Amino acid sequence: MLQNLSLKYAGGCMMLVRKKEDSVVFLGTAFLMHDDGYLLTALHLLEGDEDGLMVVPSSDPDEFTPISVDRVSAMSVTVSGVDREHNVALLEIDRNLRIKTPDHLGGRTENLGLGTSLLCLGFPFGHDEMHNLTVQSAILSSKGMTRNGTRILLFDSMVYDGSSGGPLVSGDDDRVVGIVMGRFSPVEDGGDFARGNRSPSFDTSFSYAVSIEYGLALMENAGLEIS
Amino acid sequence: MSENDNRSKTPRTNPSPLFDVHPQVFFSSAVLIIGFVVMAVFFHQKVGDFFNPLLNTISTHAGWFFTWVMNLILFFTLYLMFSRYGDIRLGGEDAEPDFSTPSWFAMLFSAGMGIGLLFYGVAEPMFHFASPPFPVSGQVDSARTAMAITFLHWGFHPWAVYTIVALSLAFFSFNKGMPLSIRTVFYPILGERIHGFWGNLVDTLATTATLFGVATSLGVGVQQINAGLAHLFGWEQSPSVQLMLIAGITCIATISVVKGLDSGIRRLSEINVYLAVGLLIFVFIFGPTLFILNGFIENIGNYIQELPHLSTWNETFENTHWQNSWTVFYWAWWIAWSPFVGMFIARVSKGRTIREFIMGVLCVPALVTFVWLTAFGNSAIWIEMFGNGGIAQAVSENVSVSLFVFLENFPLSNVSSLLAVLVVVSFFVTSSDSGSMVIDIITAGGNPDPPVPQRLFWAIMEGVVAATLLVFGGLSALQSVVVATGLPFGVVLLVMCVSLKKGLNEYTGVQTFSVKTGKKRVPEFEIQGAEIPQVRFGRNEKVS
Repeated sequence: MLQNLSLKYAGGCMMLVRKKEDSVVFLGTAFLMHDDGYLLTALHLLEGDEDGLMVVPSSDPDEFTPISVDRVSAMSVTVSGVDREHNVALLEIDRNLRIKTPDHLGGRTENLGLGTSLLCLGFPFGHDEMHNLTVQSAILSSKGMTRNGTRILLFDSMVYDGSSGGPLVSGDDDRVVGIVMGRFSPVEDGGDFARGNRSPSFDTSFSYAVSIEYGLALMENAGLEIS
Repeated sequence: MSENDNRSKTPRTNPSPLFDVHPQVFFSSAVLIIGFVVMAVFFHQKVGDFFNPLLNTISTHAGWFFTWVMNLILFFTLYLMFSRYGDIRLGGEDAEPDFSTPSWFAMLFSAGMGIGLLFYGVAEPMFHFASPPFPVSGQVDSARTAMAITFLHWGFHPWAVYTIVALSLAFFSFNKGMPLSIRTVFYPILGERIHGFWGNLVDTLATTATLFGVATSLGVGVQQINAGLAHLFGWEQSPSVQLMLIAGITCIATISVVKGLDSGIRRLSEINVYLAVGLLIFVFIFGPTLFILNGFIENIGNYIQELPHLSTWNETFENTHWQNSWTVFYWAWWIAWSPFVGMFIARVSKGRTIREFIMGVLCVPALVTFVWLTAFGNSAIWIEMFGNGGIAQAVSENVSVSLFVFLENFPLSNVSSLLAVLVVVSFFVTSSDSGSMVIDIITAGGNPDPPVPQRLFWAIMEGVVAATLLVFGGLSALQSVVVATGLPFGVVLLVMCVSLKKGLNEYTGVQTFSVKTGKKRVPEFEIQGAEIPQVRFGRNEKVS
């Protein structure tokens, strides 16, 4: 089951990078959600700067590939919509590509039960020059709502910074149910989860994602049909 | 890709309430049909001189091929039924059947076998009983063999062919969103080319073959009805009576087609089945009831035991050509008819799972056929063995009247003969209207509900072609042409199996993303280097 899920989503996961002079720097993960070249990711990865953004597709994930690559083919993307409140961004690939996405991508978190099998995909060690797509399995540990009303999904797996922006997929119906944000740290001082005044990476062994509905809402606002 | 995207690739004129045609297929079919009819009328002797020996040559030299094709298809059908593909629902997970199960069976049976069964239900067992194809020890053995051979010709093999054609059409149309058209089944092999020349060619040939198939059997059939009426009521056997019969049948079929699938064809098929069941019950009650009851299970047992032998028998060591006019002829005939019957079955089978579909199309009609053949065939054999006899002689003299001669052996033969005529006519009407429906759909580029004037056009065209051929000659020549198409279509059937398997594999496999820009290919991806800058990864520029 998890192999099929990995196979389904691997092709849609891309590294999010920023072009700086003649090279690119890794920012995180983004994933394709639409035939017209739209991707969803976590807004905080953009660091408020929308210039020079590019995505890099992964090579065949089932092959043994060099863990670090020197040169990659990258495609420019522009920011097509943002949801600052819930930390979600919608990107659009500038080039006109022929893209075919699988059916049934966008899931619903409303009836997602605790204990559901989950899979998250991303490039956890992209910052450390490891450019292999990596999948992690987990179960849904908790469903919560932050103080600003953001619906989040906690899962029992330690994700690393590079996985931020990747898809969280339900093993129940093979659909994307969340956008991975990062490691979970309990709320302190009424602050937010990600990147507070202490490094979140070492807090707990849980990670969290925001509900996919925020991303789907962004897509709907952009006039996209959701499969 | 959405359903509409796929459908819209097949060009059609702007849909209007009057006509919604695929221009290339519609007009080239019409021209081809008219051309062939003119040729058959004026040169029927020459057409016959060419195609009759051709048919004979095909039967003699390609008999082994038909034997292979029919058996492979039966095995493939059984494999699909028991495989994991059986769970796939035609039309998607949430699809519901358009018709109730009894109505569905009625339509399957009426379109699939129809008229032939009525005449050959009595005649064929008699033929084999009177002159068995291989040495038998006495009448008992002869009777047993006769029934087993008849079951072979009308049993699982033909229905397996229909099943595969219908399943391919239904799957690619309802589950993959392609047009309901013969071209569709070649998508996994031909790809987008099915929307071009090759697709048009396939559809045009299917349209032409279907129309000729239905029209010629209509033409030949009315001659049989006429013979029956002459025997019963002393009517004269003349073209004018036959033309009137064609006009009448076409008229009812046209009304049925115009009224549509649900209120026309479905109702007629149901009436048809009621009438046929009435006749069956009549024979069962007034015939040798116990003989029929005993025979039913024994015939099925014999058939199953003899199936490996008979279905692979090729007259190799006998070095005879008996099969040319029997087994091989039947195989070619069923294959030639399969685009038409398959298309019709596909149209009415949305919402069934593949397993349910195969059980329904392969097993149920075959069982009904066995009941029918036992009632009529065994009764005829009983009359011949223990009764007054005379059926075998009647069959050898005139197949058309054998049914009526048979019924004369029972009480109330006037009533039963009249009922038989009604069944014959209603079987004709249902074959004719479902044939028109199929042609309508193909020439409308796969639109399952073509506009009424278009249905009118093809239904009338069928009658006109049949009448023209009847009056001016050329019926049997054209029928040879139809049967001769069984050989190339046998090859097509095998390709269809490969195509269906491929399509089912892709459908049940995991769907993946594909990003195509044209040059560099990676299995799941195609990432294009052309204008995408090859960029260097910055080292040690970790973003914190």
